[in-house]
Amino acid sequence: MIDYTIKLLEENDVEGIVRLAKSTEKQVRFYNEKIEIIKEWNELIMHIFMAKGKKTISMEVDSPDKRKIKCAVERGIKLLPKMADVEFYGIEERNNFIDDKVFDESVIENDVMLSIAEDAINAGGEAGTVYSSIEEMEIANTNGSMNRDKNSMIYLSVRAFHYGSSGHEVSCSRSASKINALVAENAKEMAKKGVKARKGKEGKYDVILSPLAFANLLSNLAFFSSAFYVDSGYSFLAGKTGKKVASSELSIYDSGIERDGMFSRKFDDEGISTQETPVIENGILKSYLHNSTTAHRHGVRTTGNAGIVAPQPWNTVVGRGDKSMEELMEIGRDIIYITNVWYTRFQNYMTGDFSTVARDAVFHIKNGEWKAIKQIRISDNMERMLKNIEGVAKDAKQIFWWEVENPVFAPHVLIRDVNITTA
Amino acid sequence: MYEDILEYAIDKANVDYAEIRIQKVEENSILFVNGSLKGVESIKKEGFHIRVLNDGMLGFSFSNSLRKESIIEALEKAEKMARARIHHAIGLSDEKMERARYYVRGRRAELDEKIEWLKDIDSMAKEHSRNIFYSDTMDERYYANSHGAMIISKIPRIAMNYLITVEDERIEQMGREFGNAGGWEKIPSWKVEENMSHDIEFMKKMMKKAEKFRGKGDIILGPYVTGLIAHESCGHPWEADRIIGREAAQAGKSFVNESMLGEKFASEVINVVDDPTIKGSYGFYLYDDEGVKAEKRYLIKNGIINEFLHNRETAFLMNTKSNAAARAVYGREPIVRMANTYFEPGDYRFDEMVEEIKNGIYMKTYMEWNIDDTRYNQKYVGQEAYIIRNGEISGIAFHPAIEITTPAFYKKVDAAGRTLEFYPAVCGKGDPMQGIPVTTGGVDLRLRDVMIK
Repeated sequence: MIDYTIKLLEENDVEGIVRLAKSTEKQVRFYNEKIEIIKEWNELIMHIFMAKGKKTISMEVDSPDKRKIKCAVERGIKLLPKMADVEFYGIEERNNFIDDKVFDESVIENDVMLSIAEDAINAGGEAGTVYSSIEEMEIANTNGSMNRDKNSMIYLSVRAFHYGSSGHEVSCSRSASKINALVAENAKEMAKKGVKARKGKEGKYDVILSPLAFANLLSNLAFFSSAFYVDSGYSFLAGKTGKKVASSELSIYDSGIERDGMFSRKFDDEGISTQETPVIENGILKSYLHNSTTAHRHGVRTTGNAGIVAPQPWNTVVGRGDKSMEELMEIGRDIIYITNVWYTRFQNYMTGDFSTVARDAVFHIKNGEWKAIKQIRISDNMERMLKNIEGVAKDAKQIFWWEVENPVFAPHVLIRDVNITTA
Repeated sequence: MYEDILEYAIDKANVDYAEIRIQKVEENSILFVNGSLKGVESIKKEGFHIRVLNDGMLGFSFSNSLRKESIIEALEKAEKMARARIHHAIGLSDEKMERARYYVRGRRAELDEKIEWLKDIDSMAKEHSRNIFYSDTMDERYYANSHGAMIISKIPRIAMNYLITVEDERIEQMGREFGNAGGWEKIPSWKVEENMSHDIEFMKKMMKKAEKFRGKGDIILGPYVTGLIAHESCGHPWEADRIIGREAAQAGKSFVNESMLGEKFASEVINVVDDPTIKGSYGFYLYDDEGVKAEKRYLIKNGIINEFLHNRETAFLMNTKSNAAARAVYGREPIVRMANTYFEPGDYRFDEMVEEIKNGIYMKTYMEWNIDDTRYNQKYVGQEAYIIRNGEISGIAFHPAIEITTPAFYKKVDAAGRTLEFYPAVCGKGDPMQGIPVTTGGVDLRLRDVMIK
């Protein structure tokens, strides 16, 4: 089918990229300690990008057959002359494909997923989800290149409650065998520790963010590093390449080749090989994420992160820290330990002013004494916080769930003087 | 068109309950960034959704192949999944199952007409960084279930949003969304040009002079803000699936529980409604995705908790009736959702509200907001906001923020304005995420003695 589509484009003297993705996704959901629903999605989708000079259009064809493909291509050809010119300079070529990522077809087996969910419930999880997918992809373009890829992913997201307090954990991988349902025990332990919480007090604190909480902020940062968002007024990283945007303790990479990274892919949506791209190295902003078009605009090479329109992050990886959680506790003075956050919203994307709500157990730790607190949020500035990172732990784990929509390998971090507000 | 397939699939089902929804969605979108056309996308999706219930366990299967054999294969998979475990507690409430078809009309514009209009809009902000996104969709549904419902609908929707960045000594940003059920004929009612020009001028003025307000004062929140509040701190916690814990690991639970029905919760001037049947509204529908007829719902009536939002599963679990809040987007199961949620008008004029304030704020629009996962602790930061002193608006307020608990908010309201305004939004909930079109609606609300930061 993909050959047929390329042939149609060539016959009409149109440049193009055709991507065909066949996927099966599964989910087991549970709440009140019982499995309630199992879901399955099966899709075959063809994405067709067509370009003629400076005019381009993207089409999507569901469950494609020759009739639907012909219809879509003819429609595209009819619409192209009606387009205004777009910024399009052709597709770069780079073929150093690396593909040693894990693939595990068993992630979508009912029994495997049910067993993970039931183990999580038995370990103290009250509500959660086991989600998995496998995907086979083919891509071809009118320059004659063609490639194939296949991917798998699975994650457990589980929440535990105890007398109004809660804890949350995830376990994420490309392989079912690496999912640890017993993380639910940690969630339950946090929920127990968090009971009898008192309303927190506003002020500046040294904040320790758990991997779950830090990943939430970094998943936002990952999008801010996309050149598309930089150029669209959606990023405080605009104009700061080569400048200090974070503490020298912090290095962040985008990786499409991480062996167990849930979003690792052999090639991007332009068919270009993915890679590991340094975004922030020792606090200095090194690179935005690019596709061929944004790279041309910025005078650099693509980083293999297409999105045809907007470059997209693959897996965000925090450079390995050198501290233990105990050492972070020792460095901090008046500490608030936030185990999870949600609802991160920006007042101004260009300045990075934002707030995010602490969710699940939160603790005020002073002189080694832990007190559970509640009803707090971080109301601060993203760049200021990144610059105030004083300790990065060596306990990074892969985080992906409902609130973290692109995988982040995140550790615990200690951040100085974070502004905490309350309702 | 697909009635035969629906009936065939339902006949084949061998479980306690089965439903099938065939859905066709056409979506066209256009993106302009800083005067340059960045992308035009045209997507046509078609797929079917089967949900079955057996011994209290649900199975859901989706495929984007509409072949008869794919449907039967998916039905068998859904049945197998529902038989994988037994869940004694789950059931569906008894409801009158409807058989109906309805269509919303809307003019479809040609691509070049859309691009020309967007170019004109874009040129109004050419001195500033800007991002403009337009989309129109046609959503066609064919639904049937084994309890006798058959609903066929066709609803076009049209929407756009922008984000403008004004840079001088500081950087300020403002964004707005527009949207309706309908077509190109809705565009003039959005007054995009007027709004965009107002937003740019306001940001320029704000750069020159804006005053910080810190401390206790009275506050008037405009409809743009109160609409969001109606949605976030009343609509969401009133969703019965949150209350029973079904969303506990994702969108969260609710600070409200079943025993609070009938309790006095808010000031008497507060009436919060969710009504899917408002013609032309972004969240419009006449029958929900379980075949139940939609109706206007009073979530809070004269300050009293009146009813929650239910689908048939939550209604069964709470021993009540569904009020047709089951909604699904393409590829997803139906879950409890809002439609058009708003504060009903009161009897105050805006100038009357202002006159009675000695020291306070008028917050007209916001950028940043958030709320905790039980919907108890919320924050709104003003973008367009003004200082009120001695009964008069006296200047621009620099990003005033309120952080307040939900019960405190609803108790502190002492006046509701007369003019109701609606704003479109896309509400996120469900797992996997289901972004669904809704409307947030509000009137001016005045709160007394609030901490403003």
